[in-house]
Amino acid sequence: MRFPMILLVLLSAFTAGCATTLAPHQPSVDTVTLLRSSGLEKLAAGEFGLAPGAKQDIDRSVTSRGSTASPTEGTFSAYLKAALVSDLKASGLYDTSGPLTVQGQLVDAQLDTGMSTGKALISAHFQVMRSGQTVFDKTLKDYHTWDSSIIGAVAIPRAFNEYQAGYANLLGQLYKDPEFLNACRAPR
Amino acid sequence: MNRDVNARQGWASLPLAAALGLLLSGCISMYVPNGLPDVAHSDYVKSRQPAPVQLLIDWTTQGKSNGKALGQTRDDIVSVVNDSGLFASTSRDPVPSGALLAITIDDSPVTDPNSAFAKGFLTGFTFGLVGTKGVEGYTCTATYIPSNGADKLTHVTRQPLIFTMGAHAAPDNSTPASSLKEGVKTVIRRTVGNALKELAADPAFAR
Repeated sequence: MRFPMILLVLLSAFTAGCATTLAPHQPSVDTVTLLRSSGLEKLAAGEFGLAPGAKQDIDRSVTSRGSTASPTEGTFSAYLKAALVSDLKASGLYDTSGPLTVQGQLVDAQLDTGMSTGKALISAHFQVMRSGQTVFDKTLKDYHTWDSSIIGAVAIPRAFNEYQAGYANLLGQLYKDPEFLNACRAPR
Repeated sequence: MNRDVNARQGWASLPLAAALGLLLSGCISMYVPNGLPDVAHSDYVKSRQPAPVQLLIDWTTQGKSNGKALGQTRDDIVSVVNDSGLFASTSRDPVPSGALLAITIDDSPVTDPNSAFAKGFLTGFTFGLVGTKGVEGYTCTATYIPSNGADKLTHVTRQPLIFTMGAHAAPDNSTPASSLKEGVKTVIRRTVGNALKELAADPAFAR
């Protein structure tokens, strides 16, 4: 009985690629404490989409050694928006009725699982509008590496976790950007 | 940077398939060492009036958020916090006082028995397991901020989960787990319970 079961597992591993859905972003305690102490006014999240000229497929899914992952939100630009909203809500800084709105465009997104080193690159363009006027306009990029593995069962889940971490890192850069902070603090 | 190609998929999945095969044929056993005890409700120091708290939970693998694992464990973690009786209620959104409790559990393989990381898990537990058996290390970090701008209180607990393959004897002073789910539930109960017990006993928490 054992052999047919193992063969079945082996066969399915060789013939089928895996498709998975990535879980929503989780606000971290570091992000929440950072935002709470930032002195920011409350913000809304406006339109998020793919930047002009960017490849359509980077918005829909990401691939690691033949396994594909897509965000719950449908696109990675929507995932980025949801992550921003989630961080702002957890910090008590989300308000759709105020003068400030953050907009975003996904510029680039790459994942290389590698054999010994994995690499992820996420880049997005952010704009902050205050009562219709642009007060912040900047492209940010996160690039980071990690120790990968030749074993797919180890390397693939880690690659997807690291890829998602790229979006959190990107938002972390935004929350620390002095120009963003100046733009989102109440005018004196 | 090149995208990965499908050709790698087959052989890369082989170890997973072999592991699955072993699991299906019942060759892997799991044990939770007993160094970290379960915490009874009466073990928590209750020296103040319980108040509402904002609860943030994360599960990380080797330091990076693992949403899939969090989805499978969130309810168990929330249950331990609620059952402790240290807080009047928990919510994902901020509470008026600004009180915030963050629970993060990280799982990372213990591969080098001589590393500082491994020693954090092996304290008080005698075994020469690493290398012949698999050890996964779970680190629970409970961070509590009483109000906006207040200092953080942080308490950390650790618990290994031991995997044996084939005819290895059970590790000393360990409780067998019938499944990975049961093993992880025990890990959550003990690590979160003990981190909250330490937090409750912290003089700064009672103020």
